[in-house]
Amino acid sequence: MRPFLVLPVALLAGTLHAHQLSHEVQTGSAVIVELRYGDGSPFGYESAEVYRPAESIPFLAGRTDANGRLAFVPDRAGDWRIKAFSEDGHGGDFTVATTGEGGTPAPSAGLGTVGGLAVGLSLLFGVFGLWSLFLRKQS
Amino acid sequence: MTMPSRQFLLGLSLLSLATTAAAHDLWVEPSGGGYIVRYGHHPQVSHEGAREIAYSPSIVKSVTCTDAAGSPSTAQVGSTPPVEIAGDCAVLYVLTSSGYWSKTPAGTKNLKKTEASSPLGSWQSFESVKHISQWGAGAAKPLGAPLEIVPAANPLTLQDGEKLALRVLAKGQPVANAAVTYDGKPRGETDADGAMNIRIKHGGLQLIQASTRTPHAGPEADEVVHTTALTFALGKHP
Repeated sequence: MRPFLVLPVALLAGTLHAHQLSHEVQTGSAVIVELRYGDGSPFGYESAEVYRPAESIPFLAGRTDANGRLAFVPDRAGDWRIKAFSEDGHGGDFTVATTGEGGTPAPSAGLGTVGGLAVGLSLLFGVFGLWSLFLRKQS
Repeated sequence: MTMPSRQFLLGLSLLSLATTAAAHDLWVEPSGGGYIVRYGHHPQVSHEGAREIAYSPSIVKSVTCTDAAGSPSTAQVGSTPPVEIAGDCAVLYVLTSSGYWSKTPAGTKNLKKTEASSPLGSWQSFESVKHISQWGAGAAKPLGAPLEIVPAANPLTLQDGEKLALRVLAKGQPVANAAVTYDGKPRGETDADGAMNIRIKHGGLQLIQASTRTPHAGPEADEVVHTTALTFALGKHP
């Protein structure tokens, strides 16, 4: 797959003293799925699972954030299954087509207005970031 | 912790997909000499077909069965899921409640606000359904239920494209600004008299729903959320 953007990666290594858990902060492409109730309010703090194409063990199991968003970084192309559900019976079970490693969903997967705006802003910010790097090298 | 430099953060790319979490429906399905109470995704609403959600028979709080004239009629209510109701009802009204619910950072829990940890919001949930199988005075007048939809005229003779005038009432009183849906799709809100018109789109089973949110009186919840349905069957239109 061709990445949607050639992305810089920020590495930020840290270590927790107690159990030697290190962490690394990266920037890159992700799929963000926003779930809402029928009245438009966010499906926040609810259970969600993400499955690789044709797999039955979750790739990710967790909860949506306060805004009802779920983010994951696909590591292969195909139809990724997403299940989200709450104890009171609300839920959804659907697939998101990704074009490959890096996590860019196919445009036909349904970019909404917010998604389109986010992509546009991301492009602008990405170009600005690369331009800033270029200027720094020049100086 | 050291923050990554601004240039790196500006490289963030994201793509967003928005989707809606499906709600659930309560309806009754005529079966033999009675009805079966169904809960889940009604086939008229869900593109993926009917899907049932298991429920405890204890959620059924009351059953009202009347004949065409509006006189009470006997109905036997089963005690195992799915609940079966045996009886000849021109009008059948089933009231259910799954109790109190609280939204918490650990998800939605079947708990009162006073019992939940870090509650963000809470409500007492009621769902009800009125099924009309025979028109008469019994169907034309309100049952006096906590929330109900009352047709202004016989809905069983409607054709595609015709309008059904209805009222949403709570204990016999009109409910203004109640959200009304047809086959799960929003069709508007009731006026000050609780009235609204719905245009019939197809034959077969009709599903009209109305929802209200009202303040809860005690500390157990913030709101009372009640969704009521009106169902009736029309002939299969060409």
